[in-house]
This record gives sequence, structure tokens and C-alpha cells, in this order.
Amino acid sequence: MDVTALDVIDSFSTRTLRNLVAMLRLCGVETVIAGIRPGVAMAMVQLGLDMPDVRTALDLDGGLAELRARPHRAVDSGQ
Amino acid sequence: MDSDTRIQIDTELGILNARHAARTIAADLGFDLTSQTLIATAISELARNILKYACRGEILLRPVARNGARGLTVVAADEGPGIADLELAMTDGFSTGQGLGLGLPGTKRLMDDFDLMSEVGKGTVITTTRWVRSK
Repeated sequence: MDVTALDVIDSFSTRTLRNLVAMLRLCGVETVIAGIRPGVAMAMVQLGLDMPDVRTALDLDGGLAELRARPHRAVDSGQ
Repeated sequence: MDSDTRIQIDTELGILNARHAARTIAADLGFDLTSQTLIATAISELARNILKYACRGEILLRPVARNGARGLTVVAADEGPGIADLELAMTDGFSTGQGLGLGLPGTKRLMDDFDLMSEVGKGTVITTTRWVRSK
């Protein structure tokens, strides 16, 4: 999921993204959120927002590479 | 001198309008891109609270100056249900809604000055300012 276009991620959008990833996971779909801008990330951290259990990558290429390298979350948690 | 900008908040579109207006004004005042994002995020939280708890209200954007420093004051006002326990509302993790409970304390961290006035049954006024950092 490429979120490069989002210039603000507030608590509402964070909850929406987390819920979406959780729903997709129940359907057997692995998701990587890619492209959270540095300023947006800074605002999220100051707000106290986090995305536990959500995989993230710098950009779309990084997200796709991550999924190719580790298609399943189970591999992640085993590290 | 710079004048106030008022944005009605009664739909999702109002939240976007407030964010965009704040970015434009913040850029004119000399805030860097990161600060613009922090301000826009704070406004997003405040406007979302208005929409969620009071259904309608107003965001006022006011360029300010103090001791040679420029800043942007954001006033979020509504005539909604008000906040019963201000201390509790400012606690991380507390929410009466379905939120993550980080809105108000988080907004305070994004800005420099933060003042919250609320009366149950009357409404809520939050006044918050961020100052341009001197280089």
C-alpha cells in the first residue's frame, strides 16, 4: 500500500490503515505500507501514533522487495 | 498586517480545507516543510474532534508575532457537548469516542503553546500556537 500521496497521517487515518491491514491479514493477505514521508512520520511519533504489527518500507520498491524477500509475517517474527 | 482565516468544520471537506489553508499560511510565515506538516497534523486532529464530538465548529488561523518571532495560532471552537474532565482528556490513551485517545495530548506535543477551555453543555475552545524556529 503506497501512502506517498498522504501529506498528513493523523490518528484517524492511522486507525483506518491499521484496521485495513488487520482485515487483509484475516483474509490471508500480507500488507506492507510504503512511502510514509519523513515529516509525516515525525508528526505521527509526536502524536504518539504507532503501527505495531504493520510492516513498513521506505517506498514502493522497498515494499515490493520486502514482500519478495519475506512473503509471510511468520518468517519475520522468527528472526 | 495579516488577517484571520476562518474555516467552517461541518464535513470531511472542512478538515481538508483547514489543513490546506494552514499549510499555505504557515509557508508564508516561514515555517519549514516539516513544521507545516506538524501544524497540518495538529489541525487535522482538532478538526476531526470538532466533527466527531460537536458535529460542527470552526478553525481560525491567525498569524501572530512575539518578541520578533512569528507564529501561527490555531483556534478550534465548537458549541458541542464540552469536555467533562479536562485532565482526563489530556491523558494519553483516554478517549470517550472510538479514537486512539491521543488527539489532545498529541496535538499539544505538535505545537508550542496550548490552552484548552471547555464547559459541559456549552462547548470547547482550544487555542494553540507554534512559533517559527530561528535559524
